[in-house]
Amino acid sequence: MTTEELIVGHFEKSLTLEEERVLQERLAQSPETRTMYDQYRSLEATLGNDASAVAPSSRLDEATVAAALSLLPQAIGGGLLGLLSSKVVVGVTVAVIGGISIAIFANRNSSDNGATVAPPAPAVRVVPATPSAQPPVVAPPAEERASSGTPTPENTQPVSAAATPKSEESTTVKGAPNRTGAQAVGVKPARKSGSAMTIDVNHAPVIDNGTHVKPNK
Amino acid sequence: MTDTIPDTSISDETLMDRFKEGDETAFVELYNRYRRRVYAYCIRMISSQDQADDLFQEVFIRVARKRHRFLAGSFSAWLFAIARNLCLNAIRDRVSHVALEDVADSLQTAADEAEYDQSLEILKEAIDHLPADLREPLVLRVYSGLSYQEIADLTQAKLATVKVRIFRAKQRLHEMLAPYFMDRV
Repeated sequence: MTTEELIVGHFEKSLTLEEERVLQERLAQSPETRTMYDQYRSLEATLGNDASAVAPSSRLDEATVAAALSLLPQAIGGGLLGLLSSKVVVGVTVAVIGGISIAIFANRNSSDNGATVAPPAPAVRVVPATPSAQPPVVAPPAEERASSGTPTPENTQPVSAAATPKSEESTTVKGAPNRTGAQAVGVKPARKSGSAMTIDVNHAPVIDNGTHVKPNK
Repeated sequence: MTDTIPDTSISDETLMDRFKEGDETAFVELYNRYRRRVYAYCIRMISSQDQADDLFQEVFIRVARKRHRFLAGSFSAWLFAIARNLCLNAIRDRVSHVALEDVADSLQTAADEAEYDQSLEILKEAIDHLPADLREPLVLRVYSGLSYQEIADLTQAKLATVKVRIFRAKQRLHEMLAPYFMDRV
């Protein structure tokens, strides 16, 4: 075995005790061997540093997991989103009940004094769930919607079709910007089981025309 | 997602079974276990970072898409087989043979021009210049942490061949980087 093979084997921890002893002898006798040993030690240290430094960026992490999970049936469901959905449902329910109470109260008052008070436009409009699993959408009041161009459920398009033509199931990426540039607050119904992968809307991945989800750079 | 301590009490294969049943957290756990190792393989096998990013993403997309095709065996071996196929397809016909002297010259120039410690960048460039048949086992060994036997199985090479290739790869790196390391020892 050559000296170089012994040195590499030493750093690979693949030498036998006898081979280690031979290497130590050569190191003790030859300055050239020690120089080579030190150079290989530097190489090993640099390789080790590089190996520990290499990692995907957090945006690539997000984009990769989102793209992969989008291939599952009924993408974007489950755990975290389920929790989010339940919170939204509770919030919407409270808002609706509160709104109805206020409306009834205001109606009574108007009946009492004879004045007609129009009920305020609801701050949160609940689109009832349909058998086709249309997402409930938190929408602004009608006036604001008309003036600001905030998308309605009809013009809020999930990016699934364009995003994953190769996917075996439908894909929806939450938080992707819509055509008006506004953020649609679409809440998908929770899946019966599983967990969720949420994507920060501020770092919403850009969907290219393939399966890949490009992280914003 | 990053820098989490993986729960190694659950095997990769069990997680894969759960993922096939629709458990997304199982996939995320698998992803966390292998993200660095697969990414390191992609980025060191492919010179272009953008292309490596795409390939890395495609690896896990394929894991999700082909999840039902994983029936038995080692998940790690299956995962790296996917990564390997993608990377080898990408670098096919791109292998260029550069004279060793030219590489050493360019590395020395880069080192001379550096205002800070560029050892990692120089190392990366040197690895890029390794022939693919030497680079791959080295990357799998050093960056992905595979054993000689796992590398032999993955690359369908003999165990002795893998050992020799890793030795040759380090020898070539040593030759290319010797002028640089000479200043540091």
